[in-house]
Amino acid sequence: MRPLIVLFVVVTLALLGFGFYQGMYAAPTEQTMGDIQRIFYYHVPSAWTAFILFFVNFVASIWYLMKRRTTTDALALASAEVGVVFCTIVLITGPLWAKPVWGIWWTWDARLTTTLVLWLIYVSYLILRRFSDSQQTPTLAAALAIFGFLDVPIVYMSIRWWRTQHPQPVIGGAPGSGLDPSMKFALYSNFVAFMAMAALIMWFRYRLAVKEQRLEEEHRARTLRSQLREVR
Amino acid sequence: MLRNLYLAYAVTWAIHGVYFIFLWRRHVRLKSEEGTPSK
Repeated sequence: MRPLIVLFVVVTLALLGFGFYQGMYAAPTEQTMGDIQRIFYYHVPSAWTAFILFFVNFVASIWYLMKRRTTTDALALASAEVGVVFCTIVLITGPLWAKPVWGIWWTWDARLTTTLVLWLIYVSYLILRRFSDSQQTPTLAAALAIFGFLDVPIVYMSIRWWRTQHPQPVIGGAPGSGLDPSMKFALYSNFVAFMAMAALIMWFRYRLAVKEQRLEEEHRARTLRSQLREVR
Repeated sequence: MLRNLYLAYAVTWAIHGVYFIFLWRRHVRLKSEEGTPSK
């Protein structure tokens, strides 16, 4: 197992290095915005990765409600937490790009607002998991996650449904939209690298969550045993 | 203008770095808790 993980870490680091080179140097400079457009190669892959992680959380939550397996609950927690990390990056790199291009850090347009709402939904999910002491927490969290995920397609479609300050889609957009092939290559390189990194971090977080569940279970059993001893 | 580009890349890695440290500390804490004998 360990050599496989080491190999995966090495491959991920190589992919990240390659993606960085593609985004910063190899991709051509965009005509209107100039070099600042290169934020795109981190901003968009981070958003796609967050969407995929929230989808994993959605599926794991449904699965948990159906089968009640603690490992599925651990997967749901891991994917939501790592998803929030990537979504945070989207919400920070966006305004850093917006300021020099639009002249403002933030505007309450449909894409930006729904993304902020998405982040708030999953932060509340994590807060619920962190501070609720009840044994019902995984069930409540799973229900919240299923409804919370409904915002993901809204975020994705927001720039298609409504006129927004945020640019129209360049991938899967209207006819005539699109990207230069070398820009597309840089974008996909970073997406693959970010996905590999997300898988790695999620695996690590998942193992921690399983370990926490086991320790909590042991602690509960110990408490029960000592209470029984006192009763006798 | 380019300052924001470098800042965006730096912030991305800073967030991942901080999160990794947070996970690592939790890993170390759990490992020590695992080693604690039960009473």
